Amino acid sequence: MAMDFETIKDLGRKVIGQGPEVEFKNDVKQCEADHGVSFEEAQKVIFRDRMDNFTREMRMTGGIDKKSDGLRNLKAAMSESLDSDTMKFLLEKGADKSALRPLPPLAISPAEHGRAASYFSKKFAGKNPGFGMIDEYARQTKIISELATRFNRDPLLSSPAALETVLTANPDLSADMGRILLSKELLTKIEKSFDKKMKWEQRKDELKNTTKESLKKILWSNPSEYIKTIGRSASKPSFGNFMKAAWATGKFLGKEAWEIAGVAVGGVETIGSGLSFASAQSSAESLRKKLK
Amino acid sequence: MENKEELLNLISASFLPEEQKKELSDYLATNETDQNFFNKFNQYLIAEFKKINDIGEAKLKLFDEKVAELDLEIEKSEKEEEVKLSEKLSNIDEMDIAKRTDIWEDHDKKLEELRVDYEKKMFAVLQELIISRV
Repeated sequence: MAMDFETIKDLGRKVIGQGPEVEFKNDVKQCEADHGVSFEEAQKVIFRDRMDNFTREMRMTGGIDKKSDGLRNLKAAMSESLDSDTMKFLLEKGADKSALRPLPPLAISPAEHGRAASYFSKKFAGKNPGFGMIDEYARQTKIISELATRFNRDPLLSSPAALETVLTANPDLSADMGRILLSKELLTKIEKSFDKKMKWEQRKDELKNTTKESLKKILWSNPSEYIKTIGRSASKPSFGNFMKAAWATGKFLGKEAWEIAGVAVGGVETIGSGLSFASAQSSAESLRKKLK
Repeated sequence: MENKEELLNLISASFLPEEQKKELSDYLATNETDQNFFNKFNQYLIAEFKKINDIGEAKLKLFDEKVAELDLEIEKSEKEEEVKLSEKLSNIDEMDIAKRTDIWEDHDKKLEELRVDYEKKMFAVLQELIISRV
C-alpha cells in the first residue's frame, strides 16, 4: 500500500521525536471529521483536552515531572497551535501581575502540602526538601490548577476564531496561560535546586572520604619508601635479622608489617615511585611468609 | 661486605632521622653487623614508626574534628539562608511570579556559594594538616 506524502512526513516527525505533535495534529483532524467543526474550533477542543490531562496528572502526582506525558503533550499542543511571537506575548503577560485577573484566596491545605511532599519523596528516595520548598511547590501547582481550570472554561475559547487570535486579542486570557508556563518553570527550578542539594550531600561525603584518604597517603608516605626497600630485599636470607627487626616493628605498632606496607603503598603511588599496589602487597606478603 | 653495603643503602633509604642514619652508618664503617647493631637499628625503627603513626593518627583525628566543624558551619548557614528565603517570600505577593522566581534563584545561588566555600575550607584544612606538626 502506497503511503501519501502526509503520512511519510508524519513518520519522519515521529522518528525525530515529534510524536506528540503529530498526534495532536491528527487528533485535531479527527475531531473536525467526527464533529463537523472547523479546524480552528477542533484545535481549541484538543488543546483544552491536553491542558486537562496535564493538570489532572499534576494533581494526581503532586508535581510536574520533566518526563511527564501530560507536560510533553501540552508542549506539543502549544508548538502546533502558537507561533513564537504569541508564546513571547503569553510569557510577558504571565509575568505581569497586573495583567492577571484575581484568583480566589489560595490557602494551601495540609493535603496539598502532603501531595507535594509525596511527589518529592517518591522522586528522591524518600527525601523531603523541607517546608519552604514544599509550600512553594504546593502553592505553584495550585495556581497552575486554578488558572488551567479558568482558562479551559473561558467562553472566549468557544468563539470560531483560532486559538492564537483569541489569545493575542485577550491579554487576560494570555496572562493565565503565560502564568501557567512561568509557574511550571519555577517548579522545575525548585526541583532542580533540591536535586542539586541531594547531589551535593553525596559529593560532600565523597569529598570528606577522598580528602581523608589523601591525608593518610601523605602522612604515611615516608615509611613506604622504607617498606618498599624491605619488600624488595625479602628474598635475601642474609638479611634475616634485619627482616625480623622490621617485623617486630610492625608488631610493636599493633599492626602486621605487611598491613603497614598496604597503607604505605598509597603513599608510594602518590609520590610516584612507580611501585604498583599489587607488587608492593605481594612483596610484603612474601616478607610475612618468610618471617613465619 | 656486600651485605654491609646493601645495609648502608637500606639505612640511607629508610625514614630514620639523619643523625640516626649517620650513627648506624658510622657503626657499620668500623664494626661488623653484630647483635648490637641490629638491637640499635630495631630500637630506632620502633621509635620512628611509633612517632610517625602517632602523628598520623593525631592528624586524622584533628581532620575529623575540623570537618565536623565545617559541617556544623554549613548546616547553620543553610538554615539561615532558609529563614531569609521565607522572610523574603512572605513579603512578596504570591501572584508576583517574576519576583518569587528571582528570590528562589538568588537562594539557590547562595547555597551554591556556601558549597564552594565548604570545599575551599576542606582543602585549607588538608593543607594546614600536611604542613603542621601535631
